[in-house]
Amino acid sequence: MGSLDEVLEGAKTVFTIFGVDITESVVNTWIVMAVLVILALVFSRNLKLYPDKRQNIVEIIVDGLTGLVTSTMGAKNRNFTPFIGTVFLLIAFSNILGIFGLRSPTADFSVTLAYGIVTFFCIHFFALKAKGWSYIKGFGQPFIFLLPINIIGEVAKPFSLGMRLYGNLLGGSVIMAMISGAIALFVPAVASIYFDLFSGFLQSFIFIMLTMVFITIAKDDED
Amino acid sequence: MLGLDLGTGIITIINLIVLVIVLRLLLFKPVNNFLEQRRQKVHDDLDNAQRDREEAQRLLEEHRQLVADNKGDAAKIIDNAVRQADVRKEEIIAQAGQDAAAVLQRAKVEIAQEQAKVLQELRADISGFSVAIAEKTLARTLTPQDQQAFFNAVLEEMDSYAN
Repeated sequence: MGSLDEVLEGAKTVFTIFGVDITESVVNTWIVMAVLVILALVFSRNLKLYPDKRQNIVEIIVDGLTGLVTSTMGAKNRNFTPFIGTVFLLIAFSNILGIFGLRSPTADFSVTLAYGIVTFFCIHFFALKAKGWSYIKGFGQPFIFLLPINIIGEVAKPFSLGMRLYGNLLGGSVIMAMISGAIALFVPAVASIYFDLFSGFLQSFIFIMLTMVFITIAKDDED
Repeated sequence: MLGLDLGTGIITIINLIVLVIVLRLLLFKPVNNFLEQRRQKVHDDLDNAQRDREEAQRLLEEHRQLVADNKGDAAKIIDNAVRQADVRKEEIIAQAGQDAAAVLQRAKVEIAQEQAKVLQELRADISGFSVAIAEKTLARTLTPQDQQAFFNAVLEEMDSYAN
């Protein structure tokens, strides 16, 4: 974790490809993605009827996420598990990157807003797929003059999701930088358990819970 | 600090979509399929166990019924055997009684015949002896009329003794 100035400065550009700046956030996201893919390869091969410790871990994670999706969205939406599970793992691993001295990609609003935008498109794509034209008409309910307010409410969702995650992560990073600047020994390690581990997992959990609720309400709720 | 970078946003969206596809193929799909197979296997095993238990229970009931039926049959067979033995016993006793009566009857007839025969022989012997004694006593030969009279007198005497 860098100093307070570095944290507040934002993600630095590491290199440029075809005129596109590749920032720390993107590189660190790629690191997280590589770690997740390697872990998936290692943990999901040679699955046996009688699981060993390695298999138990992956079964607990996958089955836990599947159970969470099923209990929140209903059994018919069980096929959302890969999307919800991936978002959870990606955000959770990104959030705890601070432990390893790397800048958390989720402390960048561009990244968290992108996650929010993906969720936004998922909500409306699956709602349109399920309800068709009646979903669009639903924005004018119960009165037509509420249409602008409903649209603003929907457009606010990705910003709300992105801001919540970004704010918590940036806040945690700022506090951690301040603690590290003030006391160099022991205290930052203890504080990191809360701000990086606990808060990191909590925020990723909140993000996927809201995503699941928004998708389910838009897709399955009767008007 | 809150600066939005379009490139980072777009790359992040692509990253997320790629990772969803990769983890779906490498992690969620195989593990969920495997868990489903195991769930199905456990379900099947439980079903089989339930079926086997029901089959075992049915066989046990059949076995019990068979044993109970056999016990009833055995009792019936023993009853029949006892009844038949009783009938046979009565028949044998009756037959033995009849045989004994026949033997007794035959023995009585034979005794009567033997008695008559002995009496006949005795009568002949006695008449001879009587004549000889009478001849010696009288020192003469008796006439046939004398012999007949004497013989009749002796027979009367003997009949009185025999009665």
